[in-house]
Amino acid sequence: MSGHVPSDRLGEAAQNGGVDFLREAERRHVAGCEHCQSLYGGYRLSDRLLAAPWHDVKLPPNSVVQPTRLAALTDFVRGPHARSVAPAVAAIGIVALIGAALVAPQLMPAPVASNHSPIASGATPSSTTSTVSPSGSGRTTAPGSQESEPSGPGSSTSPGPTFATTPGGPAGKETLAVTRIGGSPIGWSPDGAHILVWGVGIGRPLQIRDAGGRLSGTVKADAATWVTSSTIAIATRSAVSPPTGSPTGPGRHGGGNGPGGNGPGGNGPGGNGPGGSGGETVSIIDTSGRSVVTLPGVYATSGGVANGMLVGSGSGAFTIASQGGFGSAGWSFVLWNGSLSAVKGGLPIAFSQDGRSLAVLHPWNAFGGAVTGWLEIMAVPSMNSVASFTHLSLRVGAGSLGSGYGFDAAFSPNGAYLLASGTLVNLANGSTTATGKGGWLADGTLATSSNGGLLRWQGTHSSVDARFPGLGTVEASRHGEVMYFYGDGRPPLLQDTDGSLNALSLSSVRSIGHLLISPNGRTIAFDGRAADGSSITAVAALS
Amino acid sequence: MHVKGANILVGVRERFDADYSRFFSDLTRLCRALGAGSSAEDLAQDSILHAREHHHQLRDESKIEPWLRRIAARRTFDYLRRQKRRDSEDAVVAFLPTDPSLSIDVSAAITRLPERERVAVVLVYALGYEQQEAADVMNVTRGTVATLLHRARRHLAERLASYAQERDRP
Repeated sequence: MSGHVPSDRLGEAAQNGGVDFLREAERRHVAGCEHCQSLYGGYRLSDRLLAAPWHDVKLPPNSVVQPTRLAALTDFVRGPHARSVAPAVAAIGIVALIGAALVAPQLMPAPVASNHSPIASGATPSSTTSTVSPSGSGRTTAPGSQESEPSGPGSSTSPGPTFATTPGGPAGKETLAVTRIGGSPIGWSPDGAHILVWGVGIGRPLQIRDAGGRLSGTVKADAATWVTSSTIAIATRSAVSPPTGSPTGPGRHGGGNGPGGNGPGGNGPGGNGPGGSGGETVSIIDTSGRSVVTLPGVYATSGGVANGMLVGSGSGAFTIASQGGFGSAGWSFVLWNGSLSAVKGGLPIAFSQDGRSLAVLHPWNAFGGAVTGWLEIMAVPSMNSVASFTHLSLRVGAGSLGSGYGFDAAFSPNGAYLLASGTLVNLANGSTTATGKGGWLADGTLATSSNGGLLRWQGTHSSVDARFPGLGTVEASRHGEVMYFYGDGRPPLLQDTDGSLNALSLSSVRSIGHLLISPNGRTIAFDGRAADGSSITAVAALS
Repeated sequence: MHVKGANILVGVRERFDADYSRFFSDLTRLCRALGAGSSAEDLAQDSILHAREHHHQLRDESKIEPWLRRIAARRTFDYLRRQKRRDSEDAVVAFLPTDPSLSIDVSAAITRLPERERVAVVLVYALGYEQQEAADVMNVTRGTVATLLHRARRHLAERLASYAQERDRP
């Protein structure tokens, strides 16, 4: 035959059992043509690649991304109604911008090394490194970066870490046994002895498991929070609707005493607001799931139970928020710390670590897991306003793997800052800094992640800790341990309280999606992919 | 007075709330696959919020999921454009197929596909969307998606031919 076998024919052959699919003349040509053999092999490789599991993979800055063709993205960047009105020039301009943005990284020089960012130094490998199979050496190599220089004791970027054997990198790989638990872990108890897990099934079962993954109790719940290390507040759908239109406040509803018989004159919540569609009963259970006490009243939840209906301090108090309840159409809440407080406006998002302050958002937009509004700090238990930042428009998202368990907000250990969904608020003056998501260490350092590695923040100043390379996710325990993990199969890194760094290998786990470290730093709960590609949720002891 | 359409709008809003978790999960997956990385959840949430506020623009309630996905895809591309301007010196996080027996350079060939082909591949191969679902997200016809997939496979084969030369001859 004259000329090469058409590309599409080779593609069909690769999909249909091999070269036997081709006609005799085509087969003879391929047998003697390197070009056609290569292209046929390319098709087979493509099909194999496209059938492989997909992950987030970090590529170095010099990965060549072909310039986007003009008009390629037009359908994405304009709305469905823009087709008839958007001038072609505008579309081309937008696409050109995107194309330039795609090309620009390739034209930029390699990152400039900084004192605290040895990871960036000379990071210009000509070939990428697989991020999927961890090396057996126990060291962690980030694609697109060279192994970091030592930044050991004395470095201003970290609180005096030490390395057992390998300067600048993890001391070694520790293999941890994992215990599968199923469901979605949502919150450790303050002492780290138990964890709440949304189970899978009808009626949203809430599982209470010990740190070893053993089930200690199951209840049905729509929202939950730890009150103490041994008690949990839960909200469950009430068979009784909240009373309609009855404004309620302390002493007006006559709803009975608070839990334990020491409540005020009765301030059972109620008062279904406009559009109210249901109510929740709140009770306190122990770690075996047995009810300890049921609070009076039915709490209106127009629009369904949202994140943060219950927010616990872990030291004996919790708040119950209600939308459309307490005689108000908006958000309002009560505090329980042995008795119910007066009704306050707003939506609580976090207690301080000492339990003496409460961050309250006054939402102008609350839906599903996210709330946006201005911030108020209240004293607990007096509920007096300590500070108001009405100029803020703070957005706070869901805080955990499952909805119905609080917000992504946490006070610094000394209560001077609030980290809310990646925004750091200085509570002395209301100024904000975009830090990204992360966690507080016991010494007041905030750890967040960045493309350059883990960032350590002292106040609003940050420095890169390049021993944690690349873009990962940070989880920190109150005890001081730091976990840095990736979604692409690289081994998670654990920095212990003594500063030593270890790469962890989790038995039969390919990658981690979400992870919660217990407050005492002894156990992690996570979900992700097992070695066989199936979903996995499990706990693993760190020591 | 009964206003035609009012009940439908209320129904849409209620459906946003009732199906929030499912929508959020689906859109997070989509945004992550399109390259949003750790911002996928924020983008998904923003998309749902935006859609809920503009639910009156939805003409057919049965198309709520394609509509949401289209919003999320547009927001993700806007986000990626801003990110690439700001972090132009940083490494790129890409959602790619990974086969331990193949070099990551092979996987990286996906990033060199023309953008529309790459998106079609991600939607169909990574997320498992039907071609019609991918077409709804991309605001094109199913036939266009089929064409894009066909071209993407050919482009990939051409780019991987040199790798294959040494290891995968017929």
